Amino acid sequence: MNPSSKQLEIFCGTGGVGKTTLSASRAVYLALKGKRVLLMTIDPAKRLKDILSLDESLSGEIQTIPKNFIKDRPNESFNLDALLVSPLKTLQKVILQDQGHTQVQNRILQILFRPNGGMNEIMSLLEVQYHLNSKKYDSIILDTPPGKHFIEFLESCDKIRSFFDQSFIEIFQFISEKGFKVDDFSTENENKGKNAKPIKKIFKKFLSTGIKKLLDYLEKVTGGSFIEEFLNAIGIIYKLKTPFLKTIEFQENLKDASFSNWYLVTSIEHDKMVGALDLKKSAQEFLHQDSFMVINKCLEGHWLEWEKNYSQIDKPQVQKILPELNPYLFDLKHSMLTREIKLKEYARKNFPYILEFKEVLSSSTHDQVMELVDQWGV
Amino acid sequence: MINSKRFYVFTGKGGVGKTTLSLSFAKYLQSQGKKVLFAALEPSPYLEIYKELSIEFFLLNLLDSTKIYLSKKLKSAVIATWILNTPFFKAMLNIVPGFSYLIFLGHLVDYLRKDPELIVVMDSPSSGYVQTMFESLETYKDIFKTGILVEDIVTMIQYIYQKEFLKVNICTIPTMMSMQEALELKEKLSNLNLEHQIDIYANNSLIANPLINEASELPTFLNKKKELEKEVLIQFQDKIKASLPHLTSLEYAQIVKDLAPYMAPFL
Repeated sequence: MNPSSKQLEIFCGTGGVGKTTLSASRAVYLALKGKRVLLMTIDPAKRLKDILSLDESLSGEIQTIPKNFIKDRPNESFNLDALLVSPLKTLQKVILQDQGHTQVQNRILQILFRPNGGMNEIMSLLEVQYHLNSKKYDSIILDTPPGKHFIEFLESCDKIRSFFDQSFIEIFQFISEKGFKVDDFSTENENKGKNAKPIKKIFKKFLSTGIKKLLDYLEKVTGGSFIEEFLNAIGIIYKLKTPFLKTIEFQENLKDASFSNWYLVTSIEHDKMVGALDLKKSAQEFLHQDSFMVINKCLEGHWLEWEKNYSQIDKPQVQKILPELNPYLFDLKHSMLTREIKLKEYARKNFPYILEFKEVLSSSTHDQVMELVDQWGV
Repeated sequence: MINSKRFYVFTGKGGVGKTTLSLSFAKYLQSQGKKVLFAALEPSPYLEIYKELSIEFFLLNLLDSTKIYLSKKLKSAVIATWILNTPFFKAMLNIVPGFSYLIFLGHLVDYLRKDPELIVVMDSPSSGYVQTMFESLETYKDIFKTGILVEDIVTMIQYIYQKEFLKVNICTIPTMMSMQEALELKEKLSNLNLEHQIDIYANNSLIANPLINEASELPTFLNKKKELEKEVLIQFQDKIKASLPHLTSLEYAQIVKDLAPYMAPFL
């Protein structure tokens, strides 16, 4: 259970499988080995903050995990930082670099850059790039939101790519050719009488009949002010085209096994067949040799330990695990183990590397993380 | 005949059993003589299960729902199809996510209006989805300001928020972290005027299974699991409406059927 550490390690999987706890344990494990590690979560539920006792008000900013997190482990250096990614804060950083201010007043952008807004993946890739370039870290561990599977993560980048495609080029070229600044499209300025040319009039004058017709129809349904605000949003994003397109290029690195580890996490508690089939489909399009199928919350080890202990007890009590004498316990064990074994067999048939993690029975998430740290080392 | 609402939305973090519980609830409603439509987002890996359980289902597909809506509003299917085929519009639909949730809601509300006997049970993909879905109603009402769409949104809001119409069932499992997330979600949804229509349910509980609960010869690790669960259930007892038992069948459809008798508290 010892994948070599890479610059980027990505944990994906459906919800509730323990990705966040596992990714935290991997980060702690590598930090204990002397690596400088950054643990990033783009999980809107911010589970990481509970696990590492992070301050939610500092989302978007790097927080250093204090050494007392590892309490009585002997260690000279322990360099672990954490980041709760806020897509909006990342956008503000980009706008600041580009335009010297951080105002995001456009409401469509505000919705879009909310944690559930759909820009999570690309904004975290932006953050990953940024922090890798800073050379401050040996390894960045990325905990992803409970999307269906990791391909969704990559597909989200396609959404952005299509946004910058042909049909928009016309509008963008128009914006830059006419020398319009983003401010010119601000509805606020319009209200103040400044540069009072309603955007849609401008667009309609110069755009092809196709787009004009489209906007006419849309306007009937959505109302004119939405179209204006939407075009305003496009204008702003277009100005940020360079960092976005760079990030899409950076995405290619994710397919390089020397650069990244992919962990596809699932757990025994789930209706695994359904989830595992999904994972297989997506994995085939993409698997590089360092992709690990991770099976979390395993109970097999617990059952085996129990059986071992039982076999050392004298006969009358051993008989208690026989189906005739304790049918319910037998049924329970059979059902739990069968699910688990089926999943593991399926995994072994379809993935080159499997990692198994035993379920940790503790109410303290700190203890859960530390016990998982020990399982990485085995 | 039992009293039920018209629109049930099942939500909760990933992996807690939303789909299983929502399917089971649909079976329960059927057993009580109700007409049920099960709604989920496309694509669904459960097609065979729906058929095996004889549950009438509707998979929400964004482009289809949008086409139907635009056709109605612009009074032309041809125009609607043309609009949908422009890359600009497709990209817009993808980029502005709340938009699509509105369209799904609208489509379901349509079904509910057309058939006053119908009950819709919606299996949502995750917690964030439901929050955004309800927030979108207010947000887009604001953004659109005027036009046909706003009129429809206002009508939808009035319809959905009428008394005894909507219920949000938050599913969770009896662990500390999951319970806390469920409570956070309930709070966020309460801010959208839904407070009295939300309940939390703990799924996959070992203790709620009487055989496991009363068993005296369980392995230590299972006893430990029970203990941890007890701690959680006691701490949150006034916040949980009901607990559902861990079941041992190896057939998914069978579990759905076995859970149906437990589903009355979800009404």
